[in-house]
Amino acid sequence: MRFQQQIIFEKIGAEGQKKLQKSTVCILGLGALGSRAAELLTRAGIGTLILIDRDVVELLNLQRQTLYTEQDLNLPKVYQAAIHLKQINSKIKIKPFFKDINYTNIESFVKGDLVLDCTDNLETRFLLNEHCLEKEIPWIFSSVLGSIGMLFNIIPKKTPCFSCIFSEPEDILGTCDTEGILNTTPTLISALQVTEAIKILTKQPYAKELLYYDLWKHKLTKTKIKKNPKCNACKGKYSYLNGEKNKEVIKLCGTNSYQLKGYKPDLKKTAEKLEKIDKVIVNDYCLLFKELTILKDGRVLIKAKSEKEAKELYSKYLGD
Amino acid sequence: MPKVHLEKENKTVNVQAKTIAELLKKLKLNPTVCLVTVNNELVTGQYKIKSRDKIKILPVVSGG
Ligand SMILES: [Zn+2]
Repeated sequence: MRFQQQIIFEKIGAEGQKKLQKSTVCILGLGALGSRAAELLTRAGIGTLILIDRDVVELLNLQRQTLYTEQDLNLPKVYQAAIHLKQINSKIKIKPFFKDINYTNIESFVKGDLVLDCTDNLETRFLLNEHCLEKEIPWIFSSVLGSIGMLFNIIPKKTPCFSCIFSEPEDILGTCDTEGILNTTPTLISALQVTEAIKILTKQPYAKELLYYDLWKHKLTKTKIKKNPKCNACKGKYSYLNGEKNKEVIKLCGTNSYQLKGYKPDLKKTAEKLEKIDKVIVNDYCLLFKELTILKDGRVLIKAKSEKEAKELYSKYLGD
Repeated sequence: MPKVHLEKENKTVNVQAKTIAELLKKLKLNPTVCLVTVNNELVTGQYKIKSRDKIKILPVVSGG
């Protein structure tokens, strides 16, 4: 009886509901967009969710990431999301992965009938684009900033791809740090993204245009997109998937932080060393110290104004 | 002179330019951080501007 009112809705029906129940959706990024989409899909009766995210819940996130509470602070978003989602619908299957997705591991984790892109950077999207083209997995691009959101359905062999539209930025893009974000923006864009997801999963016509919505101006701009004849990804040339574009330092959106890889942490020993300098918080997944979050898998997130400053803080506290 | 609507700033400006690449240069915009549409269709830098074209510039946003 749980889904009765969704089944009565003529565009879904009993057949559509069955399809949703049999579907596996992978959500890449469990921030404002991803956690909202995960909740809506759980309530809509999706059979299986694969959740992937590399971050822990921070106080700054609670302004807009509606699935989390103060009890979730400093814990991995994917595990906390899984707990909340199971409370909403105990029958859903959830596969949470506390992982940083890169060209070496994307194939092992990003699977399913559909992928929702809820990441916070373009690099991961270029990588996801190539992976989904190669594996022929449909995916939905979504992004937000301020009061603006974007959305585009990418169906391999049918629609243009992400690289047909976007190119690697050669100038600074605005981030949630510099331009801020309204909490209603990701809420609306998630609603649009999940609506498109339901259409794609139930094999119904989906939006073909790139959607650009400005909530403050209350204005929707639809843009027609054609395949770009110069697009390398469409020709099967995958420069992200083969590692050519791999970066060791990544700028993260939302908290003015940088991610550096390669630290081989013994969290206990590191804590002992750092406790002599200042307060340290340690749990099973990470160590928090000043501007640094050291994750068990070897990533270090550093709050800094520039890449240079991040590297300096890294060597100051974690160098030999 | 072609009219260009800057979607984010919500203002319209007149810019004399033959192509989209030239137009972006005059507006001091890097082509990799914005999308340009002509009559609601995405175009690339090589596009040759016609007198009645409705040009819009959208910012690229990447947060999540
Ligand atoms: Zn393409």
